[in-house]
Parts: sequence; C-alpha cells; structure tokens
Amino acid sequence: MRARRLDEDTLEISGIGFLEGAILWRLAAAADPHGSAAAEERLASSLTGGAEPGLDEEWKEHVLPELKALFASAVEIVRMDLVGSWLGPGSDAAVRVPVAHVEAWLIALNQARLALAARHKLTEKAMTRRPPDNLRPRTLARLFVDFFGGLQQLLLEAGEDPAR
Amino acid sequence: MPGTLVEQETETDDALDVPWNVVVHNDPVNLMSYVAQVFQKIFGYSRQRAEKHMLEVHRQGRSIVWTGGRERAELYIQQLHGWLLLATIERTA
Repeated sequence: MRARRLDEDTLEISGIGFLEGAILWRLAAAADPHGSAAAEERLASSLTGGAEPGLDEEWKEHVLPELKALFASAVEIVRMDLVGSWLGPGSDAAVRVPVAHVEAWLIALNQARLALAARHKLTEKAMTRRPPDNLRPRTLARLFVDFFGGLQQLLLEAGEDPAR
Repeated sequence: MPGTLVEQETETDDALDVPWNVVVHNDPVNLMSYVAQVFQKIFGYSRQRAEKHMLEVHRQGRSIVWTGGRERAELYIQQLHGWLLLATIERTA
C-alpha cells in the first residue's frame, strides 16, 4: 500500500489489498466508542484532568459536544471518500483523497486507533509486544490499530509540503 | 469610547489571570510523527521545536508546550483534543 500526490488537490492511496480494504471499510465502526466506557472516556478528555472540577464541568457542557461533532464529521468525510472514490477490484484497489480532507482522515484514523486501544485495553506494553499468532479480539484490535497507524504515516508523508 | 473600555477590561482580565500551562501527556497509541505535526500546526512551531516537545512527551510522560492566559490555553486544549492528543491545563506553580 502506498500514498502519493496525484496533483495539488488530490492524494491517492493505492495497492490496497483485499484484507486491507476490509479493514479500511470498517473504520467507522472501529472509531465508534459506544458500548465501551473506556473508549468513550478517551475520546472525551477533560480540560484539567480532574484538578479543577468546575472547569471540567463547563468543558463537558460547552466544548465536548463540539468535539464530538468534529469527530463524527471526520469519520463521515472518510466514509464519503471511500464510497465516492473507491477504484479498482477488491484485490488491488485505490482511493482518491482530496488534500482538503487529509486532516479529517488523520483525525478519523486516530479516533479509530484510540477507541480500539481503549476498548481492548491495549497498554503501552501491549502496543510494543509482538502480537501472538491467534485470533483473539485483542490481537485483532492491535492489528487494526497498527494498520490505521501505518495509513496515518503514509498520509503524513504524502501530505508534507515538498518545499519544507 | 467603547473601544477604550474593551481594552481596559482586557488589560484587567490579563492582570488577574494567573499563567496556565498547556501540558501534553504521553499516550501509547498516538504516532510520534503525528504528535510532532500537530504541534507544528497548532502552535506554528518549527519542526525541530515540535520534535523536542514530542520527545519530551514520549520520554518524560509530559511536556509543557505553551504557557499564558487561561482563555488562550483553553483554545489550545480544544485544538489539541480535536486532534485527539491527551492534554490538560494547569496553573503555573
């Protein structure tokens, strides 16, 4: 899988294999924290981490709804890009991403990684350990987290200003 | 004049406002390159400065990335949370 700039306005992620495509199309579900208090908490951080309860309460009331809307919008942008610009067969596909959508992709991919890691309790130790060769949900979660991270890295590199 | 009044109010608020630190905390999931790019985007830091803060977060568990008035500190936290970094504000000692 690789990402490259087609022109000033468009990136293309290509060489998406069957399994990679299957994971990518599950991004919205992976990013959804519902049903896991840990995932919901990770996507709704407080302002002071509990040091100033009054400020945290105001934050929860006034800012968190805006952030939730931002996260939902990012996931929706990715979903629309997948639906609207998925190219090629399932075994060697590509997707075109407007450069203006790259930030939304990075946020949606991060949302999915963080929600999965929180839902499946992937600690720092678990993240650095080589995943065991089995199909436990936690192992699969680690696979998704690594895959979405790899895609983020490709987008960061492809989206960099060439003049910098 | 209304303009003058607003300026005086701002001055008073600033004078009363204890400086606050914007602190970014370590997270085992966020990519190091992602964190550095977020610092560049939000604070306009050079790549070198952004990477210095990113490494501080990674190695020491936290980094104070900005210090100043509360209102602006909260704005930065909102942006950092928008990129899903773990970040809080704290009063300076």
